[in-house]
Amino acid sequence: MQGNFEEVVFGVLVILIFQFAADGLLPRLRAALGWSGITRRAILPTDLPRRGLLAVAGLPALRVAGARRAFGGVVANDDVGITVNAGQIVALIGPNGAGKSTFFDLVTGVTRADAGTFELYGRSIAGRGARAIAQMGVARSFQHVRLVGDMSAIENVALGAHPRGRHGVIAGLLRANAAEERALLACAMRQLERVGLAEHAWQPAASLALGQQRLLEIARALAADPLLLLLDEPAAGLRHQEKQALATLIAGLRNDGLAVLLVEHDMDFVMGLADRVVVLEFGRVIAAGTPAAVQADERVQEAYLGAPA
Amino acid sequence: MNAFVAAFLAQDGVSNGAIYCLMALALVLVFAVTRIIFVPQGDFLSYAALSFVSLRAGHVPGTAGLLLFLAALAVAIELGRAARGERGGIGRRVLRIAAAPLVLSGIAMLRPHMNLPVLGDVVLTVALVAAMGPLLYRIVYRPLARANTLVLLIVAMALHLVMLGMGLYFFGPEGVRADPLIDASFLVGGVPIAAQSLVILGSCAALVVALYAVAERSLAGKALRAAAINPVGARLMGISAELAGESAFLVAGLIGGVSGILIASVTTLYYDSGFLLGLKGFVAAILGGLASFPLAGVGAFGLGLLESYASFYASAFKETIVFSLIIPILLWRSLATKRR
Amino acid sequence: MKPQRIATGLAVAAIAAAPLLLGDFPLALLTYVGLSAIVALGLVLLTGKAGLSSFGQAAFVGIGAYVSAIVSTQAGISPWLTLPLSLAASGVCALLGALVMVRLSGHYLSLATIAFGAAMFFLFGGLDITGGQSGLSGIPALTAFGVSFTQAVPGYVFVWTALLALLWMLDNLLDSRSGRAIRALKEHEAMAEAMGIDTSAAKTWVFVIACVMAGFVGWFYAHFQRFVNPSPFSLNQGIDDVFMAVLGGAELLWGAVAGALIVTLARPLL
Repeated sequence: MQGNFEEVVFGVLVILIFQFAADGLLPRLRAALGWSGITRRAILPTDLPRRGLLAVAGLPALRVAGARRAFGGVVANDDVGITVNAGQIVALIGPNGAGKSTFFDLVTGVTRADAGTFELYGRSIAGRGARAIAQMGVARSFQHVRLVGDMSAIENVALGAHPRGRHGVIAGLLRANAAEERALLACAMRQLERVGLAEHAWQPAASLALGQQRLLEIARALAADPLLLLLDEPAAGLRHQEKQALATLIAGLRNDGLAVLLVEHDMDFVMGLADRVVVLEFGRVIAAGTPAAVQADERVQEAYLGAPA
Repeated sequence: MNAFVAAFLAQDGVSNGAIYCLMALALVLVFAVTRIIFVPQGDFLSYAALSFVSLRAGHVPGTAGLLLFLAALAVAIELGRAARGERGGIGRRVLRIAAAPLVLSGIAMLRPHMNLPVLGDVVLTVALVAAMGPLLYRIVYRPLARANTLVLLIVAMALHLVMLGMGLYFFGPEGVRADPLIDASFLVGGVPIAAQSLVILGSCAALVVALYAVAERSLAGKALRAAAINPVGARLMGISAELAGESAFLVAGLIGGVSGILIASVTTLYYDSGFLLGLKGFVAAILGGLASFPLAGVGAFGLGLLESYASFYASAFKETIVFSLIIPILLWRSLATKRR
Repeated sequence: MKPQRIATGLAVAAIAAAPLLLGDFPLALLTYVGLSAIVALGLVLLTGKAGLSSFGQAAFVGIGAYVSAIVSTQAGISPWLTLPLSLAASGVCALLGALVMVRLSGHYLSLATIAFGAAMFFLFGGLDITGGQSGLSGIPALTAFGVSFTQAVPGYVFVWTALLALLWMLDNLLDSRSGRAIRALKEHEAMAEAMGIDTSAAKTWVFVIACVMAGFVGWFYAHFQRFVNPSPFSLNQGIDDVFMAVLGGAELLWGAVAGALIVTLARPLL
């Protein structure tokens, strides 16, 4: 036959494979055989170096004053000031679009503030990028869970401990990093135990339920040995019992001396858990204080709670 | 370089630029509507050029048979879907798929027994190639609605391989060149201007204006633009992504058909010439950020001129220069997109 | 023992047994499969793991091949001495490319690498030092202890040993701190940054590794064929390399081997 017959057949083959096995042949085969591709490893009790003892209960961990950020003409954060002490849970609440997410992004360095001072235990974090701030000890969870789905739960947690390791690509290629790997995985396992997911350590993260995935995100943040923990709507989508377990977990972290700042919509959850509540509306702080004081504030009732339900 | 050479190169650059402009137009449209980087756009061009020459010579081009085959395949897939219990109205849908291809390939097969003027062959060629567009979309891309852009691109490359191989089978390895549609030239300031260059430029302009008018004025055009700008919203408004995809491919085929005929009369074309022309259409489309038609047009003519002058100063590196050009531009565009 | 381990063991055993069972022609064909698989392995790392794409890997094979071909013929140096040069040349080009690459994403990256692949192909064919379209011939063969690796069995053993070693190394890498960082790039770049991961550095590493592997293939190819011209380093070959990675399955390292087998053997068999 004249012509490039084999090219035609080959092209058709490629098209058909993508139409019927989009991931390629070998992953298809592996899925058919039911193999997960996750290798379980023994966890030995070793430890990673920890940060110095900065966290003394009552000391201000995060101090933000005069934070301002505008997008075009919209002022998303205007003169926002928040302080979170070590061993304290502060909740940031407010209606949708009040500027809570923007504030989170400013603290974590995802967006740059137009003005304001941002200090972590007295060190300025203003103007630094997300990576630098993370390395300084600010760990976070995400509103929409961001896990590497095909990686095991424990490996996802170990990702959080990334800045605590030193070995790079070359050591990885040659497996000259065994001791550090043991320590990273041991650390990850300890965080999984803290959040109660130890028995799911070797399951792919994507196979966990949403509530478990949220806990996994918290474990990942804890693996960084953080000074400040930022939780973005950790209770969203959780069932009642899961929320209670989460509240117990966060309260336990506070007792360990961690500073926790959380954004949350669920009022019951916040009021029962937080030591202080800060209310944002249209980018400004309209009230701050104990849960009881904030709940009693008329402006808060008007702005956030709306008409008394 | 004297003024004469400069003017001559400019003329060459502008005609090539017009072809790149048409390619870029099709690529931008297809990408905007379907997220497919449509590599085989250049193959449409080759098919059109070779079919046109074949029709002029009184032969039945392989494209006629291919069109029938594609229609049969699309009908078979449609029947298969109907058998698996998907929505009804099968008779009407089969008719919609098969009617135009049947008629067109019928005419093409009777062509040797007819006495068609040049314009008749032009229209028939464009229609044959254009009719392949929606069929290819149905057969190849409809099952891939959820695939990511990399998979869509790889499949486009596979489709290019298929079309290339079949092109060799249908048309053979020989190069062809069509007679100019208008064989004349005249002097402007001492520089001979080929009428064919003006035909190319004029057809390009006419096509751009016509497409613009369709996109701006007609309901179908508006629906297509809506699907390009906001696929989810368009779907909510009852504009099906499939229909939008088929329409985009139809226009891509149409543009490929026209540009194939235009270029066949200024240069010798082979079954595999389209690929490189298509790639250059990409370069132009990228200059327009894969989004803006006017910018893509400017990019296309800029590219044609650059290539023309590069071939004078550094002919061995002409292609290298052309393709290296887009890397800094991509970088700039990517940064501009991120900053938004 | 895990079934994956058994499957891997069987594959390695089959690879080791091939020289004992097959004739020269199939072995030579499998040597090309192995070379392609190394290039595709780099693409599995890039595409399947880090979520990047490159249609220009064949150009990096070309860089490795031409550097060694030119230096070894003109300076009359042993190919063993030009190996570091080939690796360094492809690595340095990859570093330069990475400056652009880390700033590009999605289809911009695909198109940039397509353009790079096309530009390099025409460059190989346009330069005097590369011998233009007619290429370079008379390249010295790779030999060791009196064995020439242009012969079927030594060539096969060399390439597949290298391939298995690279599979082992990349498997190590992906199961390490840096590897987890790489695997987070594919879908969650912002998350990775928030975990303190330098995503630009991770991307650069991935790209350099993939390109140095391609350069290694080019180096061997030049001294295996003893002749180079632009056509095996064309954009079309770069596209074929991507076909291999994604057809075999870019999620899995062994997908590169499966894909190279399919793509390289499909054409002669059809």
